Amino acid sequence: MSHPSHAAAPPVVRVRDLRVRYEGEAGPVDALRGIDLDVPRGSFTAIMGPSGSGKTTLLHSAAGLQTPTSGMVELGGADLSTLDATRLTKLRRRRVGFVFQAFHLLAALTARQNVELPLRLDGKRADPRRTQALLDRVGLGARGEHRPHQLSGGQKQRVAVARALITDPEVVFADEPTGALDIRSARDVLGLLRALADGGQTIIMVTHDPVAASFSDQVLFLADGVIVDHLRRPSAPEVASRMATLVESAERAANTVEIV
Amino acid sequence: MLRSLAHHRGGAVASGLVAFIGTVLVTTMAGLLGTGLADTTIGDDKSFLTQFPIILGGWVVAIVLFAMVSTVGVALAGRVEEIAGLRLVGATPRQVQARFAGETLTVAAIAAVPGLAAGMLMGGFVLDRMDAAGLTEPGTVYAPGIVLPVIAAVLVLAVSVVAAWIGSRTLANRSPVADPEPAAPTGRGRNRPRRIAAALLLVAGLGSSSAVLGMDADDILTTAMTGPAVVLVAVGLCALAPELLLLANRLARSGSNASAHVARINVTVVPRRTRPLVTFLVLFVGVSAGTLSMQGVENGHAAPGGDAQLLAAINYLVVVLLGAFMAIALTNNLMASIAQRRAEFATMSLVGSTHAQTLRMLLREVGTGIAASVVAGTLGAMACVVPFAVAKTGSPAAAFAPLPYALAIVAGAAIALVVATLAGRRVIRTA
Repeated sequence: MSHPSHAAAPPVVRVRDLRVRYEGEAGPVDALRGIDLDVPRGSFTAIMGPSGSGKTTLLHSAAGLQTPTSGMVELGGADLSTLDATRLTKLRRRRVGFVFQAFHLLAALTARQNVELPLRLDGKRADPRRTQALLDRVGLGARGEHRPHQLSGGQKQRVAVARALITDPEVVFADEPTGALDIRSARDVLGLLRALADGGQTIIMVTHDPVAASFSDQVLFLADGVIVDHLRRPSAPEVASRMATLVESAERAANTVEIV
Repeated sequence: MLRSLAHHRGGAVASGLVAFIGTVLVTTMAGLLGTGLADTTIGDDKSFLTQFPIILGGWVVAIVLFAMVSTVGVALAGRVEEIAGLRLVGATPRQVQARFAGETLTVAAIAAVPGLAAGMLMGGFVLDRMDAAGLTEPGTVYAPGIVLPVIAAVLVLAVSVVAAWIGSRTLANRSPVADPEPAAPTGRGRNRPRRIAAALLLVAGLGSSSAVLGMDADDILTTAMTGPAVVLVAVGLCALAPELLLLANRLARSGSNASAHVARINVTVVPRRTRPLVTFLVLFVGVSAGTLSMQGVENGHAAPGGDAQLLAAINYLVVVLLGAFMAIALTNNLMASIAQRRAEFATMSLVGSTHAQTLRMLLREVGTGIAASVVAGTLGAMACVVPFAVAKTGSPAAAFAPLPYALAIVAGAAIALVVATLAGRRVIRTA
């Protein structure tokens, strides 16, 4: 299933016939079975699906964190399959930002040092004013010298968002960014992502939460390794209803397999 | 128990190796002691073959305990989630400690069987070498018996259990919901007993070595006081590992690249990651360099033959045995502490660090640890050997002969760097 860009501008992420196969104990498992996807610049896309539908595998493959079995992924025009591990890492740190459920902040570094780390790794000096502006933007202007253990879950995630933005990435990948947060912190983080998208930042987010998905411009529904549906300008009840249908049919399919 | 061990192979192998080598060493001494007590042993050899193994065996047991506590502590630091899970479902700290003591006993028991056999063979070999060097009478034959070597092996088992109990105490008593890796600096209150213990050890060690100044050059007590002083000072400096690291970090040239930047922060904020390296490297360099240097002074002073030659042989044997043991403990602990940083290395990779950058960060931290250890170990050894050199030769110059220090430093630094590079590369690649 393809989602062509609405403008003439080339998509930030282009995926063609993406396939990922894992060798499981009970034989091979196809996590992705031929995904086609164009993500337009400046869009906020949510990826949803039942457990095991392949959404995290899709995110990891599109972000260059995982090598697919076959197919093509282009990120900002660069074909990821042609890059070795080092060049892939360099591309990621310059052009991609990540926000994960588990925050992935370095415990020894302060919030400010964590935010500046991708720039330092790229051999660049961080502009303290820019770091401060980003910390202000995520509402942590006064917490730059705090270490992760001195921050709440929501605050840690906002540090991770600031870190993802420090390199002005072409795309931010978010994997269940609100999965470990309470409702209020989750709403803060999602509001922040929405505001970024409104400012032209491309965001791709995997989530299982219909409310989180309702902050996006479009939702892609994955089931059994393929995109089976999509929804533009989603509302939480609509997303929840489609997810319920998907989960139900996935369970029915699983039961059928068991009976057979 | 065995199933649990199979899931934590790395830690089990590390504890097993320490227990194995410990059993070999203690059983070797027991075999010699058995020979010393045997009726077949000739006159003068009786006293030598009882005193020598008891003194050396005592040191070895103390070192095994120390190495085992550290190894168990490092291995368990990789199992904090499991410990938290046990505590959450209602296990008391004592039950958690008992579980790990039981696990360690199982591992040590498995290691004890080949250790006992190897130790008995080793005892025969050592006696043979002593005979060849003319230290024992040709008529004295190796007669270890079975009781003493078995007691030695059981002693190592008991030491392992005690070590596991001590090594797991902190983790077992912590709140199950405490942050597994807090980056907060350790509270002042907790540092105090450690610093006091370190000061006492240093005072005892330096006092023991200084006492030599008032003795006659040929007094055998000069050697008997300086040898243990070297060990006491090295152990005292080990206890100051966090302070040594912070000092070395402050003195290190600050690099501007990301690897150096993060390494510097890591050593300042979380010195415990590098602490096992410093602990064992200070011991290795301090004890090896101190004993070799002492022996160098002795060789230059004493007339050949007699007690001097005997003590020389004993000292060299001590260096080889303890050096090998420290090298193994250093390798074990370094590998375990690097393996525990898998999640941190994965995070580095996620934020854009190449494998080479992460490895450089790790090696920079290890380099700081090596610098701290070799300087502290060398200075501690020199401080102990200077009075010995003055007593023997009338001048401190002989204490500064470079070869013993160079040997210990090069060997220790090489082991640390090679292990850190190989283990680091593997963990970073698979993180």
